[in-house]
Amino acid sequence: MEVQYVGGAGHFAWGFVIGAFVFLGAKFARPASLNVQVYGPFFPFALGVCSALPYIWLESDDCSIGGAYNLFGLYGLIHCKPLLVAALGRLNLVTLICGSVYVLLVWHYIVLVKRVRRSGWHS
Amino acid sequence: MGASLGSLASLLVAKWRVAYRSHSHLLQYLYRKERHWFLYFPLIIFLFGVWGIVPDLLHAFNILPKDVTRSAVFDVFYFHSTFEKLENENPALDQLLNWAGEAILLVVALSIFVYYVTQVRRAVRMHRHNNE
Repeated sequence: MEVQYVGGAGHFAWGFVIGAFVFLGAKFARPASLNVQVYGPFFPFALGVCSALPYIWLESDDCSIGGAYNLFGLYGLIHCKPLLVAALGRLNLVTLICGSVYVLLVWHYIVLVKRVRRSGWHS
Repeated sequence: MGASLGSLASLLVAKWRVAYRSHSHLLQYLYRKERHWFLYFPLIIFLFGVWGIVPDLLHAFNILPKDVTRSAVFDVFYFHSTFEKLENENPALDQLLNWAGEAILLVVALSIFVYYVTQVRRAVRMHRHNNE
């Protein structure tokens, strides 16, 4: 049977990807801030977990969710959107998306550690 | 399971590289090629994980049918067939194992970040100390 709603993993991926874009934005907006460079990659995880939280206690096939639940990464708005269901309703695609973004975040850290080991951090 | 095994392998190599740096030709070669080679090492956790989804990939790309990828021999991919049977026979336990797996994955993923954070902080401290 075709899944008609975004699952918990899909909501996590949604928050994770948006969090990664926010981190990228912050990284280029404040390139001199060591705190952004060091702690920024944790933000996608925080937003991903926050976006998936309501899935724990809400009925998964309820498409009338809205209001305050949209504070959890637009949970109600995206839960039954056909386009997002198609993209985030498949676990293998979600794994691929999150895995790729995670590897990019690890790459960011590798470049950062090498740079700081070589020349320190001058803000 | 893949992430746990990969993390274990990373931890073992982390200890091994300190103890055997002056004795091992392989380690000396790695340090000659890339002084920071160990920074790339956590990426092998990803490779350990890929081993676990090989049967799913074979099935997804229509290389092998599902009943073949669920035969006993595919247990070599982290007990793939056993877990697939469990999914049908005991959904409650399967759900529990899924949550446990997701929790382990989250802990491993964040632990790797913590490792890099400590490396950055240590490097910053060392540079400050040297400049004083």
